Amino acid sequence: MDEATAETLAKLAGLEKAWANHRADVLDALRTWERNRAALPRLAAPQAEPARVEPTRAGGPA
Amino acid sequence: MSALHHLTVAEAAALIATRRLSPVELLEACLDRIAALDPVLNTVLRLVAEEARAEARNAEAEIARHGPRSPLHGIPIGLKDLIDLRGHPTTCHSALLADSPPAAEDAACVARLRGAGAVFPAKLATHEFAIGGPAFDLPFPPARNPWNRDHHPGGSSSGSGAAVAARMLPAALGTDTGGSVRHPASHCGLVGLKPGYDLIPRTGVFPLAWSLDHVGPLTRTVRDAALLLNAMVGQGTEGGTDHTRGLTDGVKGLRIGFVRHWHEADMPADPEMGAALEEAARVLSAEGASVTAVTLPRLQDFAAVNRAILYAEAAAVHGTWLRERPEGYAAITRRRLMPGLFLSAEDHVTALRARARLVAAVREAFRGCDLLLTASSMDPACRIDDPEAVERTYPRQARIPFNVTGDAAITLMSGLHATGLPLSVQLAAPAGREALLLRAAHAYERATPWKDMAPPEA
Repeated sequence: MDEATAETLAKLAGLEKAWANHRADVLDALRTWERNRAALPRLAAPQAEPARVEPTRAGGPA
Repeated sequence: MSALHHLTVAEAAALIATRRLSPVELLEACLDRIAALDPVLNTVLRLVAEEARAEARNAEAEIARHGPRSPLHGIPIGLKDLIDLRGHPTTCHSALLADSPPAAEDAACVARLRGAGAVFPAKLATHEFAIGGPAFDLPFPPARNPWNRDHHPGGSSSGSGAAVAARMLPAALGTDTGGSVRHPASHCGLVGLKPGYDLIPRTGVFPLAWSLDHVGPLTRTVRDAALLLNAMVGQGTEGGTDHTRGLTDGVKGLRIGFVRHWHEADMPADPEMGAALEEAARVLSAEGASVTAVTLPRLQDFAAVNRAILYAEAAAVHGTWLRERPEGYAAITRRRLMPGLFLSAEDHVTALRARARLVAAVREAFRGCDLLLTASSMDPACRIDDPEAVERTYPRQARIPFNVTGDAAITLMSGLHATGLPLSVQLAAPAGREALLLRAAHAYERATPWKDMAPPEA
């Protein structure tokens, strides 16, 4: 990602102060976000309805 | 009687119950250990010695009159400094909260332990807000590993792990959002239990990510973990389960699924860690369990889903501070929290949808077996002053799946690496089957010599 795009994204996220004073950390966070986004498993059929997403509860069905 | 600081919770409880040990003596032994070792291990953020002394004296008097309320009566327990202790600030190991006001109430889990008679001598180091560490740019230094001070103790419940391993305290509480109770247990040679989601209430515990956060104990034995769990789920109240009942019943007839591909293919483990896992499978089989290979989704899928959900939920907690006071965080914390401010709604829904599929896959596996045997960490603890090694090894773990699913999991020591650092294994069970999980862990612990090993300095 080029620095101009990174700056735009940082400012859209409200991170002007971090961009000014901790730019390396913002750039690192953007790289992490890109990596994780690419790693997310995606459904072949994107129209599928999200299933119930609650984690297993104690005493609930296993 | 062995040196008091070496006593486990159960051993101390037995001596206290028979009036051969006073809670005051036990506490003083712990405070002496803290005074001797904390200057080099950095485990304690706030010592609450005088209050704990008063609690111990009260316990002593009450036990003399009426006997102990529970096996935890008069037992010192450390608290990760994300967990509220009435009358003291909760700093989350952060400059942002260093001057926060004292907590008005105990966290719900602390209130239950207090009700069982436990005393609380220390708030313990953590990775900043349970995510940023080890960090050297905070008001408090990071905790170090008692097996080798140059190494990382694991995190984020780093102080809890180091303090219990160093015999400063017989037990401590941690929190676990992506493995943060079980990571220090792995690196410090302890038992780390993450019960099923919501089994231990999280009220009064500073959140990292609500739908993934769990509270759990770090102890030196499985029995001690069961004792703390009993108190924290309100054992003795209506519907309470005694997790020590049946603890010694062994694993004969249990079906254990061995998730080998996680540490062989998905994230190839250090060869000694892999060998220790094979040996654990052999031990459980020799104890009478049926151990068979099980295939689950890739570890990387669980990790990506955990991170996306964690980033989103943590951003909701930290967004304002990250925008207005970014200088208040350690650099590593900023880097680990800010991705959540870039996450899209599409990413979040994608993660939630994937989570549902991962939960279903693990649930399906539990239809064919009672427990899962897996790696915990893929590597022994790395050097704490090597940020590249920390970044490389931190995600090399198999704890995250059970935060995603909310199932119960426990990490135990499984040997010593050639470097002299602990190796570990993990067992998992469906949420609500913690008693079965503890029973299997106890069988493994009983059949192996590892629980009796202590760091050189201990």
